[in-house]
Amino acid sequence: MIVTYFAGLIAMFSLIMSRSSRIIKNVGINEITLRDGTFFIALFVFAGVYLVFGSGSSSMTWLNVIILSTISAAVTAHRAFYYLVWGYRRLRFGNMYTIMLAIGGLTWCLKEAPAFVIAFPQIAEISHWVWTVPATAATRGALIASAIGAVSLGLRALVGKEPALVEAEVE
Amino acid sequence: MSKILGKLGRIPWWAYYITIFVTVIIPMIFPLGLPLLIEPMTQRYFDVLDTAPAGTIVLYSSTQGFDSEKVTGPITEANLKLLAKNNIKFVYEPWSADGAIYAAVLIDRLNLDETYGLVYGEDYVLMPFLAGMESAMAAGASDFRVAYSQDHFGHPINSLPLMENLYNIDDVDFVIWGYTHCTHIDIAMRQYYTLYGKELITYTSGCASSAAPYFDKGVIGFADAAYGAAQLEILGEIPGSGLKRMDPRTLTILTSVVFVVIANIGYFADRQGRKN
Repeated sequence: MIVTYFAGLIAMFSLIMSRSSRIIKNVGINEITLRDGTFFIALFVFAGVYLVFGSGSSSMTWLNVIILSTISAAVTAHRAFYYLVWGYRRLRFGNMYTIMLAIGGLTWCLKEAPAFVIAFPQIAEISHWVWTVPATAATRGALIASAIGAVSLGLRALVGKEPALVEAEVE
Repeated sequence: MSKILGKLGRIPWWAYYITIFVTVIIPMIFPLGLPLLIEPMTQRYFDVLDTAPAGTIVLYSSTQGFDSEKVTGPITEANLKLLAKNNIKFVYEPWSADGAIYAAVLIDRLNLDETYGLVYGEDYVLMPFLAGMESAMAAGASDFRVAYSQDHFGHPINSLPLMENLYNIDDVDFVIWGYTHCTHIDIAMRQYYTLYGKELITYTSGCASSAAPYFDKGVIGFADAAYGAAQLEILGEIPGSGLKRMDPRTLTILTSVVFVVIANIGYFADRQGRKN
C-alpha cells in the first residue's frame, strides 16, 4: 500500500511537472495550453474541494453529480453515435476480413437487441456458444500471452531497456 | 440504377444521427414494452441473491463511478434494490475516486431507507476510496480495519454495528464484483477467489467475454450492464431504468443493422457501376 501511494504521488508530481513545462513552452492560446489548462483547472477544483470539505461532503457530491456526471453523459452519447456511424461506414462485405468483422458485428448487435432474441432465440444459442467456446479460448490465450508479456516487460524494465510510462506521457 | 443504389452507401452522418435520435426518443415517450429473454447466467445471478438467507453479508466491491454511470447505472440500481429487498447486508468498497459518493447518491436517489427500511451502519456500510486498486483490494480483503480507519462519512469503523464481527473477507458470504474495465475481472479472481475461495457474482459494462473463462470457476452468476439489469428487474419485480432502456435499445440496434444492410447494397451497386 505504501509503495503504491508513493508511486502514485511520484506519477502525479511528474504529470504536473510535464504539463507545466508544456504550458511554459507554448505560451498563448493553442491546443496544448487549452488541454493542459483544462487539466489544471479540473485538478485544482476537485483537489481543492476534496481537501477543504472532504470526500463525503455535499460540495464534492455536487461536483460529481453536476459536473462529472453531465460531461460523462455527453461523452457516452457522442461515443454511441460515433460507433453506430462507424458501423455503417466500415461493416462492408469488401474482403474476407471485413466480411468476418461484419458477420461478427451484426450477430453481436442482433443478440444485444432483446426483442429480436425473443423472435429468433437461435441467435442467443449461437451467441452463447461463441461466447463460451471460441471467445473464452481466445480470452484465455490473451491472458496467458499478456502474463508472459508482463513478465518480459518487467525484466526489460529491470535491465533499463524499457522507457517509463511517465516518460512516454511527457513525449 | 447502380448510381441511385450507390448513393445508399453515402448517407451523410447527420441524417444517420437524426434517425438514431428518433429511434431513441420515440420509445422513451411511448414505451412499447417489447419482451426480452432471461439469460442462464443472469438467472443464476438472480438466484444467488434471491435464495440468500436474510442477514447474509456480502462484500460489494466495484470500480464504477459517475463516469460509468450511463452504462452500469441500471445494474447497480437493480443490485442495490435486490440486496435491500432480500435483507442482505453489504459492505461497499469503491475502487474509483468518486465510487463512494456515487453509491451514496444512488442509495439516496432510490429511497431505499424508506422503501425497504435500509439503515446505514446496520444494513450497509460505505467504505472510502483507497488508491492503489489491486494492492488496496488485497489490504481490504485481509483486514478491513488495517485498510480503513473510518467509513466514507468519517465514522470510525468500530462504531458501526455491521462491522462489529466483520474483520476480513472470510467473514462475508460471497462477493459482488462490478467492473468497468475488461481486465478487472482478473484482479477480483486473484484477490477474492484464488486467495480466499470467495465465489463471485459479477456484472460489467460490455466486457462479457472477459468473465466467460471464469464461469463455474469462481464466477457463479453474471449480468451484463443494462440488459442484465432489465432481466434482474423482471425476475425481482423491481422495475427500473434497465427496462426503460430496452425498447430504445432494440429499435436502435435494428435500425443500425438496417443501415449496415443499406450500406452494403450501396457498396455493391457502386462496385457494379465501376465495372460497367
